Amino acid sequence: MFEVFLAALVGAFISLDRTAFLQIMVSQPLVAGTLVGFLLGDPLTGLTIGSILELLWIGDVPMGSSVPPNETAAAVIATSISILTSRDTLAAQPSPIQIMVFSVLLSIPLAVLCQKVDIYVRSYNRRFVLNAERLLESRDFLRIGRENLKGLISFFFASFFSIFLLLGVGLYMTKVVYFLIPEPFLKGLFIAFCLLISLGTAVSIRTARVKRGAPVLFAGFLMGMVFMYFKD
Amino acid sequence: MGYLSSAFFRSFLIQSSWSFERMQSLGFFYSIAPAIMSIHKDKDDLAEAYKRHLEFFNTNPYMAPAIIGATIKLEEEGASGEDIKGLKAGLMGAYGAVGDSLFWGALRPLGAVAGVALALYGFMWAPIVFLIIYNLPHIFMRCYGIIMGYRMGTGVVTAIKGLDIPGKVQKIRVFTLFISGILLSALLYAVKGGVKGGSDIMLLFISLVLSVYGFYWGLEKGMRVEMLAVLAVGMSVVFGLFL
Repeated sequence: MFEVFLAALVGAFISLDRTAFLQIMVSQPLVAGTLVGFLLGDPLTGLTIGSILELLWIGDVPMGSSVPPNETAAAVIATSISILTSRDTLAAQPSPIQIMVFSVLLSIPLAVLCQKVDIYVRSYNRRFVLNAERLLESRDFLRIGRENLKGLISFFFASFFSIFLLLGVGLYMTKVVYFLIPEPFLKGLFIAFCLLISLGTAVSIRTARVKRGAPVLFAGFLMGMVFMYFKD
Repeated sequence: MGYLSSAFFRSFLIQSSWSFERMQSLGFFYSIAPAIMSIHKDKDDLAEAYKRHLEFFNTNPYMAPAIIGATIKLEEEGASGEDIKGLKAGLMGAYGAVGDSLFWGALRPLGAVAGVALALYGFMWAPIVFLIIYNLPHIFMRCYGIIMGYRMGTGVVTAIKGLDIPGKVQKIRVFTLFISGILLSALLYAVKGGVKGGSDIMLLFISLVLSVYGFYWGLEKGMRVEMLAVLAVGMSVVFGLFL
């Protein structure tokens, strides 16, 4: 319970980076997952889950008024569920790949759900500008800046409560449901890891939008193979 | 210049109260408020200046310091309210487009692909590489922006043009595609422990290429990535039943 609270707290701070503060990309799944992994004592699981989630929404960008799915919440929730489930029920570290894939699968609809929360916050924030206008009318200049900072609070708590709630429910559910799945159904989840990474690769190739880019892609692949040869 | 550095640091909070209706308007106000207060001593002038900086504003957050710098310059020179509003409105659209394509459209995918490839090769510090790839240009743009904006005022347009961002975006994209190739071989590297023998690796390679091609095709047909992810897991489970 305490760890769920802690993960939600840190997750909410990391989520501020999405829009409200800095935007130095610590909110990207690869970084956020690893950070939460460190926090819960298993960075490798965080890194792996972050790698799976990182590329899926890389083409969805916060331009103009568009709000992308919340990949930060997904990374924080999936990493925490995977680490805590593996530790509490199997005493395993890092998590078995099956539990990682299960948590990622669970977190994908949650990213879309948290996107709705993000949209709500952005409507809610309207009041701060209206407050600022009222203060400007009454020439109370020094208090206007504070209205901007109030937005940090609304962003923070929206993330905190949604991560806390979804992680709590998701963790409880995983600990029960995952162990009800018959063994044969779990065997394929190893392949799912490969497929999800190749889905991410497909997204990134599409995001690059290079015409007649196949030779470039192939050259990169060869280069990687050479690197692999020397690494072993 | 005390208020210039204050505007720079406050610009990291330009989206703190982001809303659909006014977007970064209050954040822009927040960044520029200390400068406005020092420049305008007359109470009515001050109210008028504050008012024009609470109007609708939205641009790429990393490009905002350039606009803030130029706006402060114009305020100092005592330019008319209309000129200042015109400058802001003109720059925010142009810089928004160019900044979005550079940061969201090019640098973030590059950093992410490189980071994931390194993670699959087993490097724990992969996230740090991602952060460096993204943030060196990001922090440079903020610093360069506020300095050039303040120095050149309206002329900041030419300074940013001189950076040739669209040309760089194109190069970064080709490079991202190259790294995507490396990423594919990194995936082979990560999972080759699970298979035995050369023929199995060959089979794995062929199925990887086919799945990437299949997903690419699905995305081109307008399928949502969430749906494809669920499909990927579903297919794997079915396939696993026959293993």
